[in-house]
Amino acid sequence: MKTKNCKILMLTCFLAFVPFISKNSVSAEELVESKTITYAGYGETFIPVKDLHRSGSVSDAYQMHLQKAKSFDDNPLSNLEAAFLALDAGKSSDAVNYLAKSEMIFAKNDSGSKIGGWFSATGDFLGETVTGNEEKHQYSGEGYEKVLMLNLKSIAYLLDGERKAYNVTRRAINWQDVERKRFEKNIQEAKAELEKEKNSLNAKNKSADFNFSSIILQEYAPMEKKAMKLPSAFVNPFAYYVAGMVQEFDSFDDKSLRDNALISYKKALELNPESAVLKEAVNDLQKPKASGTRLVHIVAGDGYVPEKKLLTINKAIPIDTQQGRKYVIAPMKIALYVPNDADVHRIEVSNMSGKKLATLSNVADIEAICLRYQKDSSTVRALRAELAHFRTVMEQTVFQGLQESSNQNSGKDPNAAGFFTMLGAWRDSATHPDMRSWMTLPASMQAARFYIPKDLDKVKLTSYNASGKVVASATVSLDNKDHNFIYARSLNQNLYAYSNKKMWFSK
Amino acid sequence: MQKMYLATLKKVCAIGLLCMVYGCASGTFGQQGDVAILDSGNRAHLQADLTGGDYLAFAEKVTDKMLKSPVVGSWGAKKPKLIVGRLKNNTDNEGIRVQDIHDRIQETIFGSGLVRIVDESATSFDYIIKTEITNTRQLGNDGQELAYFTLQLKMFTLSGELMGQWSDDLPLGKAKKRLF
Repeated sequence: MKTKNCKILMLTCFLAFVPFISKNSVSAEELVESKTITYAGYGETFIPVKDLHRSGSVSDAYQMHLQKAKSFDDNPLSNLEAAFLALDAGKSSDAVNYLAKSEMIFAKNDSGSKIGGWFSATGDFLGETVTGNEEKHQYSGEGYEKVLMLNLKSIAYLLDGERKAYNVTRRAINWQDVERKRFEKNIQEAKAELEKEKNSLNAKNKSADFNFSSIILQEYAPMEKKAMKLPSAFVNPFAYYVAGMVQEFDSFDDKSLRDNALISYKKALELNPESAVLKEAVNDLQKPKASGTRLVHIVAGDGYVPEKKLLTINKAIPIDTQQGRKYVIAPMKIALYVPNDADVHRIEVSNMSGKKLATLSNVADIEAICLRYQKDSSTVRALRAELAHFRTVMEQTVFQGLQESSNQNSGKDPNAAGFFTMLGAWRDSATHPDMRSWMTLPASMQAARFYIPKDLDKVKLTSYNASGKVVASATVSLDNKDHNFIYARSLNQNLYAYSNKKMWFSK
Repeated sequence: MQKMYLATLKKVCAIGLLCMVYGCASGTFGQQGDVAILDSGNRAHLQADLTGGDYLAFAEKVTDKMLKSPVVGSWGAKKPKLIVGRLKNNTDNEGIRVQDIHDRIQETIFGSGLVRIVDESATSFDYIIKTEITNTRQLGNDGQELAYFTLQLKMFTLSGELMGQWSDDLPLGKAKKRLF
């Protein structure tokens, strides 16, 4: 009686999945290869916060994230997002705390010890790549994101008026070098390991021999020009720029530091030779210091870094069975960085009478860094997608075998083996590559450095579109007795600006 | 029966007490579980970064160098007025306790009885001491690190003339795997 009930229950379950089976086993005539680009995983869950941020409700976005984020104790990504949201909402001290926490978690994961062990080069890049269950692991962060984490921390310290910005920026310089070496090593190791697995699977799957690399490179092609602007993803000059900025501020008390500032600006310029603000800083520091004026440094984050989206290409795979050739649809899934549309073309600073004081220019092109990172890791991404695809094909082959065997043994009940096929389809729809990335990062970090007269206590920032029309503006008050630092964030139709608290050098 | 029970209980308690005493005596003095109280001069390291012991040792060593120098020796019984400037942290670690180092430098100089210490806001003084801590870090593969920390003291006159300069280095190495 029990066995009979169980069989009925199983049969009911199988029948419920019949529609899936018909979609997965199709004839050659019915085959239509499809391609979709969608949000998935973390990228999808973070959309409400990002939409609120983009709309200009930065404080609401910050609060929403604090309520929605699962954990801050062991999740570096939650802390990173909170840090940028806090900074954009004018809460620089909160940002410092979140960044300290994310740095500590990264350090702990890297070394199994406390802070100071962040130079160890372990990490689970390869393991994650092979298993394909990336979002189940703790977020290990992309190398360039960790450098930007420290860049952001130095900005938050500058807004707090603390010289600690210099200590952090020195660490960022070291960290970038470590991350570059780690990335190169990881790519080599992952490539070797994946090639090994591919060869083993290839021997069993002659029918599934696609050129995945060319498919992926085809998808990357529209981003190629932007990615190739940089020689690598680890040439972010922002840390050197902040070092120069702090040394220049210090040089007003200790003239000998002016040479140090010049050296730092030169190093930043070496990493981004096109940057107008860096060129100007290098030229300016080779001349005697202007007297009776105050120095202003503005740093602005503009737009958003490319979003990680899920590219799904459904490939039709032929499978030879006892009943002849059959076709199944096997999805190939890749995480793809897709650039965001940008309304803002340039940001200018003026006094309250409208006289232009400076135009901001790129220091760190984060969009290019991100796309370059994607390009340089394309081989591993292609191999990873290929392996996941091969596994699907293998499963489908096994399921077909089971179906035929089941048909022979159980009076040709198509539902029995269909259950296995359904399981594969369900697994395919639920799994995806790691869709996590630091989504509140800007597309670029721009800067301006200029002198102002003694009495100036306010400046106005204005963003313009490509046609020269005003997009947004913001006014910010200055410490009218000293040098100043301003942080701004341009979110297409909205612009926010904050000036520093009392600086460490202020009397 | 009750007497026998009490006698057994006493024996068990005595053995337990002996075990506790032995346990304390055989470990490091003051040990509680996995935590040991170390000598204040202990400079053991878990990472290639400065510890509290380093701050104090650094500060004392460099200050002693200054106090034993011919420049200070030439003062005799004059007891000039001196400002100990704020320590400038130029390392890659914002967590260094600059105030502790500054305090130990000032304490050591004051304790020598060779000078009179005045506040940074003072307008009348003979010398100012500028202090700076910096580091370099060499990074190998697989987490190896070699860090050099340097503490430097520079003495200037009121007119900005450099009178002397003293420093101490502390190399710290971190192996591939954790040692502790």
